[in-house]
Amino acid sequence: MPLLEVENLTIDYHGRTGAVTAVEDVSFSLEKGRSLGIVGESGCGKTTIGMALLRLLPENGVLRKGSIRLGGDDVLSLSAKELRAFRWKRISMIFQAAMNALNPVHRVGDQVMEAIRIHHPAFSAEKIREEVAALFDLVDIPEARINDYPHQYSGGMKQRAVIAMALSCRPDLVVADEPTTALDVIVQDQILRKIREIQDRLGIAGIFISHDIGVVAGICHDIMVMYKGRIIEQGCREEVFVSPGHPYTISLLSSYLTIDGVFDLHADTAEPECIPVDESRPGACAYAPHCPRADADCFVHPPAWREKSPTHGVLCSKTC
Amino acid sequence: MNLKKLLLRRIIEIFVVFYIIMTILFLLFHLAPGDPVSMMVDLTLTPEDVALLVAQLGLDQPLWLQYLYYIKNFFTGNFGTSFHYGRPVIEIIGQRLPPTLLLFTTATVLAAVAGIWWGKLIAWYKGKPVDTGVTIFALVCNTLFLPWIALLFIWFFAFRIGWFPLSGMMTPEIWVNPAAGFLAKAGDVLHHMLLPLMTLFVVNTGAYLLIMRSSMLETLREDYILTARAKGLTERQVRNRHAAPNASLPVVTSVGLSLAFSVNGGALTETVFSWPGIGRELIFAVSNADYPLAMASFLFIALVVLVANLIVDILYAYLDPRISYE
Repeated sequence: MPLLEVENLTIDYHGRTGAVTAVEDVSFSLEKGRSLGIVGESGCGKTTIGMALLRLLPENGVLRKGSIRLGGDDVLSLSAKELRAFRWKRISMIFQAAMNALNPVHRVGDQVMEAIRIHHPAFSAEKIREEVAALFDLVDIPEARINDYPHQYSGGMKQRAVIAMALSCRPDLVVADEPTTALDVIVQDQILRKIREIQDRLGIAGIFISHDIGVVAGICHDIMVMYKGRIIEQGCREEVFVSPGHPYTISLLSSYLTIDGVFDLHADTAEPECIPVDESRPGACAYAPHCPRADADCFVHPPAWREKSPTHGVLCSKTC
Repeated sequence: MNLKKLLLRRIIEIFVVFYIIMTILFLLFHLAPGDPVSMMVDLTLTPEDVALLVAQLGLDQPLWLQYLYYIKNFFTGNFGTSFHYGRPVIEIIGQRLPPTLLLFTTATVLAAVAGIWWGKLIAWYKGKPVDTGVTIFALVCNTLFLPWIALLFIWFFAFRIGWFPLSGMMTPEIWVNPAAGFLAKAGDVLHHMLLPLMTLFVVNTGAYLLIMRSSMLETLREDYILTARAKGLTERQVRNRHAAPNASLPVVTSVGLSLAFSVNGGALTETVFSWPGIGRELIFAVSNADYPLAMASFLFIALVVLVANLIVDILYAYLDPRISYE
């Protein structure tokens, strides 16, 4: 049985002008110890999925449909008390903009200790301190810096401290939402390697959310590409990278430049001129207005889910 | 280590600011129309007597020499003799300053603590009817004219239902009675103090509450609040441990600022309640041209405000670790 099973997840945001569907009919599963990368542009719903896993959606976010199960437990039916025990202990999160994820008025060590203390009330102060020291060692922060405040840390250190905090209760799954966006490339690489290394060592499953397909490519077993709230392509890393099926994936990959320019070979990636489209037509392919393969059919009928292999699926009628 | 450095710097700053205030005061008193001697003169004095008086007070000396005397006298603790009371000024200040400090520190601390506490709670009910109600009530209280509400309270609580004394700080019978112990005396002062405290509390708490409320709402949008929730903390823990300490910083700043204003508001409050404090003494000294007393009152009020701000600074550095490193 997979560790995490998400089925038909549909999430709406209610605003003054009505409801907007941010995530539509998203299903995926994740095995223990594996990593899944969720890629897509801003507003495609990837962060919303991460928030929903911890039931941290903002007040106007409504989970309309679907189910989330972790290790067989139904996450959506947890009571408030069960939910508090579930958070961080079962799924923890490395937040977008980790710079601000640490409270400026508390010592970094105390913030990590707090997480352990909540979930292990039986631990002695001494034991908790040892745990934190071990965690800081794991992420290469000198023990002497445990009692510093966040502003005394560099950006990379803050990020590593946030990772230490996310691992503090040995969760089954860590959700990393843009874990390295605010960092420069070199630090970014170090951090990603670190996360992966620890994950492998502790057997923790991971979900990496990023707009940068390059970030995800280096560390994930499986890739899920999202566009306007839907999964448009899903498969293991090699499949998605070597034989991308959806025009949007191809376009994403070609925007990610590599030294040998391997993704530049696709000829049909250029964005065509905008074709006027009646946005209200329900069900039609959302990518059709930008799609080089689109024909009149795409603007009318919903796209079909095509399976290129048992593990590789694409939401496009024009894919073979 | 860094906190010490910060403190040292602030103390030096206070000395500089205080010296500037002293100088401005000196100039102001010399620019002001009228002079001390004309206030003391009566018809029985001959011009020779007047000249003698002027010489006695050193007013025939050049201005710079007077200024040097003024500075010297301050640092040697010589504030002169009050024209009106005929007693050393320092003695009068010593009597008047403690009641003011007692009343206004208590009122400010109470109002700030209550404002932080209620603001924190009310931010949690944003948009609900209770939030709207409290916000409007706080706004109304904040805009009340202090002497008006003070008179209203005196009329109702002291005059109509007689719960509190009408004015003053103590009952003479208790204080001349040698049998009365410390508790009886303290209780008597407290009894007198409750009404002015209530007035100041009503007028000041609203502002702190509103600042705290909006500051809380801003803090609750921070990422570390989301982290705290994700960690599995209860809403109460999120509020008290992660949101409130950060959100209360602007309130602390505003306490520091309002201390300076509470001194002039204080003169009004003290007058309405006949509270024997330094604000009322200052008004009295100024309107009676009691130069030495007025000057010393100004200086001590300035000193109190400066020291209070220093305390606020220390508190701020304690609450926000980022401050002492800047």
